[in-house]
Amino acid sequence: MKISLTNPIIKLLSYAMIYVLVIAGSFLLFRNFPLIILIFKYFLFPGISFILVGSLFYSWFERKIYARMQNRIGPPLLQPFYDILKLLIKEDITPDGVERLEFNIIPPIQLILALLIAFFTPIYIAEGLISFEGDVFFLLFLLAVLAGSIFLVGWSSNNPYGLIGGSRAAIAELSLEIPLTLAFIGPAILAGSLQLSNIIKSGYNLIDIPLNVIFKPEAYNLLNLLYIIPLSIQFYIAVLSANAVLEKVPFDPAHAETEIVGGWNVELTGKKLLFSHLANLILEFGLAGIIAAIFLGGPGFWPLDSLTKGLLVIGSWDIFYYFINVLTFLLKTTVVIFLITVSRTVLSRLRIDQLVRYFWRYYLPIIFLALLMIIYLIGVL
Amino acid sequence: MIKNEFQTLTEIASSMDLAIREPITYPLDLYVTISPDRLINVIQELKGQYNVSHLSTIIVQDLGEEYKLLYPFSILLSKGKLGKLILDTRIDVNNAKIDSIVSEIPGAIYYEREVYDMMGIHFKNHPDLRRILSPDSLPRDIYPLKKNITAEEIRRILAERRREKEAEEKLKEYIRREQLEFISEKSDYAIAVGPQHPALEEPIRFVFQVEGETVKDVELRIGFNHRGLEKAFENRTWSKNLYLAERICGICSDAHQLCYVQAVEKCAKIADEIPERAKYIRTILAELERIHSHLLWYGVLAHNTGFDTIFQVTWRDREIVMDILEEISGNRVNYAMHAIGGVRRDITQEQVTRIIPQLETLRDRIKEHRFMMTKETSFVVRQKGIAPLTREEALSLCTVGPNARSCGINIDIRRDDPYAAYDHLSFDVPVVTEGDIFSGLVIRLEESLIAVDLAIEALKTMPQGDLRIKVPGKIPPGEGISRVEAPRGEDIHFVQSNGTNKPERIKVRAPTLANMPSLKKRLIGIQVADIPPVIRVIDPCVGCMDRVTFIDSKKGKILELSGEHLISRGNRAYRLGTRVLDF
Repeated sequence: MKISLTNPIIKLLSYAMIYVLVIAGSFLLFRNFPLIILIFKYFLFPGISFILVGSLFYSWFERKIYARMQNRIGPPLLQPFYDILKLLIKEDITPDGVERLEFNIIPPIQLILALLIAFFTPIYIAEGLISFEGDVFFLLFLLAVLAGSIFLVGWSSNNPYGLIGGSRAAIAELSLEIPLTLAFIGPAILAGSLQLSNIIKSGYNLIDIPLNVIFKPEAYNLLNLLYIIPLSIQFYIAVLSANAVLEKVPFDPAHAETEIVGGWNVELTGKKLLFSHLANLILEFGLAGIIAAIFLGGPGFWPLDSLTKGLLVIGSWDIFYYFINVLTFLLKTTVVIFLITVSRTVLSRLRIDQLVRYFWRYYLPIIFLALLMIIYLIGVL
Repeated sequence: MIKNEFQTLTEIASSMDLAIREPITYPLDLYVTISPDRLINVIQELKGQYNVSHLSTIIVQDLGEEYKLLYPFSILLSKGKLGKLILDTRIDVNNAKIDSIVSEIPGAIYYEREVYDMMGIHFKNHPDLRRILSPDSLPRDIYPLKKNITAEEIRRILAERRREKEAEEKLKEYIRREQLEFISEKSDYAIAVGPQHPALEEPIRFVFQVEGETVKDVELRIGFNHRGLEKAFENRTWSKNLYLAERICGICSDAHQLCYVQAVEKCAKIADEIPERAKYIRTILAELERIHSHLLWYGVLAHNTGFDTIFQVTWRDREIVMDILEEISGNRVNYAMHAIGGVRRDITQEQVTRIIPQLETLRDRIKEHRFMMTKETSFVVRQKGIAPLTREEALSLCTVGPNARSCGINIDIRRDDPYAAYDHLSFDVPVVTEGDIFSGLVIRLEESLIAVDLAIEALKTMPQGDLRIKVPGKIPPGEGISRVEAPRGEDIHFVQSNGTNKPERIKVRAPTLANMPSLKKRLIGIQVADIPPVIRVIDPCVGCMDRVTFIDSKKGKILELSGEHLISRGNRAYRLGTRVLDF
């Protein structure tokens, strides 16, 4: 028989061989070389590539719904990608008079910090890529470092606009840090742990509490639904704080284009602007994912965990379970991004003093009350 | 403004013992001749006894042997009408000096600078007598509006200066010095806003001395858009000037054309013969323009405070009125509707039936905007109590239009000095007293609604008749002064005819220049974040205000800015660092 690639049987066989080599072979490889799995995890899924694609997608999603709410058409799906390509080919200028070292080194550091924050996001299982006891605090610490880097960029650009933007970003960070921390503390108290995965697994969040009450009535009585009240307050304030962290209206005085022409990143061009811009997109994805994890239960529905487990297992990988988890994670993140965008659409930019007043005078007492309510409920129930 | 007990301007003039210039054609425009020495005394008397504080502009004219200076003061008469008492004073060419009236009328500061810039008349005791509009490259001894120099010569001189090599060196030195000056001030740092800035639609420059987030002092520079229109008017025929007049500004093009047409009609003494239908069409156009200007204004205000949704929504709804204007005139910006003696186009009955439902939709939309903008707390906290202007300050600084009405000054040229068909129509004039940005917003929202009602009423009650009367190409000698309530406030045009087919002198004062002194007052003490909305509150229309080549006049430095200079200047302007940059 003459061997020809046009022969349908040969074609089928060769496809099957390729399939076996690529799929089965890689599993074999992964089992024998665990380092490759790590590399796969960190660089492909759920690591850098997934985070990048996800943040670009959510950037598009946000711009699209922002535009639709404003009666505009909005950008096409690949617009964020084109933006990045455009920034890549732009000339990279370091202007005279800037502090060269800080100015050149901080934008890449911002990107690294944002990626590090995104690594904590639980995407396909309750644990993120990095997970340890106390990682919630470490996350908040990383956010503070990011705010510090923003201040340094503004300062090193040696421009009044940049200087004002940088100092405003630092003031905003000082204001939002405590409300955001206290917002994360509430679920942590309920879970009895400061680890993100434990908070998710505890099942005390806005989606899992009703599910628990319905599906596990022996362990959770109806009064558990009362936890939803303080948790929704904390969720609301966490979303508003996310708006401030991401410098979006109403809490974007550090960025205000019409006042200080973009604020701290006014002097950034080309790749430096790209790093800074990408860091913001990744931070948006990561922060929305973490808020979704803490308040909406992260990947999957924890009380219904056993229903989806073990349906399609390849090697040590529970493919169907992971698929459902990733899907629910994306949906929950979408909800958070949607809320961020709604407040961005319907509100007007506040001045920096008004931002400080809102956070210290209103949100801080409210969140304290919510926290006290949680502690009281724990004592009563 | 406070009413006088007097019925007519003639009574006031005779009670003050002023020499009335005959003949009196229009009772609300009274010219009185006074000697320059008496000027200050007369103004003091007008201020003290007749509650006069509003000076519209200062008109200057080169008569060869002497300069004619006209000071049009507004006087509110007992019937509620706003008369113009125009003080006519002459000074000798060889001794071109006159007392400054800034001590009495603080709002005259930019008018006197403009007269000095254009005609070289020295104002004694003026606090800050510098050139304001003309380019730095213009030699110091050349004053553009003098009759001994033509527009061609000015153009040639400017082109020569541009070719000079040393100008570039001078520019570098100038920029370095300017920058040093900003940094060595007492404040923490200086922020330059403009000539190019996202908060500004047109070129104007502010340098803010800032301590922390508070503005301590501000330097204001205008004239970047000076196109020499007043000189250009003198070289064109009366009918060609119609189209030049509407190109003074893009937003209030109709107001400028209407004002010019009315001034020419007064000059030709045919203002009473204009057909009624033409007057109604003029009113409709003016009101439609007011609607689109106000919608633009509060849309951009929302954008300046980061409320982009309102910006998008208002600009979407503004398309309704733009479509109506396009349907009536065929154009979206320069409508070319007015002609000397009437209007050029009719509004047919079919158009009226199409337009009225559109306007009713627009009224609902504006009510929606009003609801959104006055109820959204995060937006309102940015407006309320910011940069307030008291009624006394507003009066003394000669503010006009919505800016004055938001400070409690009940003045509206449409009602007080009626033109077109406004005396046949009924409308309210909203007045609030707070004087902050929010009250400016409320005034504009209410005025937009009233303008919609006015336009509908005018469309419904429009009488049949001719559109225009025949006017010869040569206007008989005389002078005419006219004002209209442009969207931004009182717009005033003065024309002088010498009997030929070209005007002898045309003076335009756009409302933005009248509001500039109050803007400077408002800007001091505000926060950096409030700079864009506060600049917006007077609705700056730099195109109208400047009217001339590129200019840069600071402390008499004579410089010319070419395209490359402009770019380098722009780059440096916004990069005024906290330390000296080396060139």
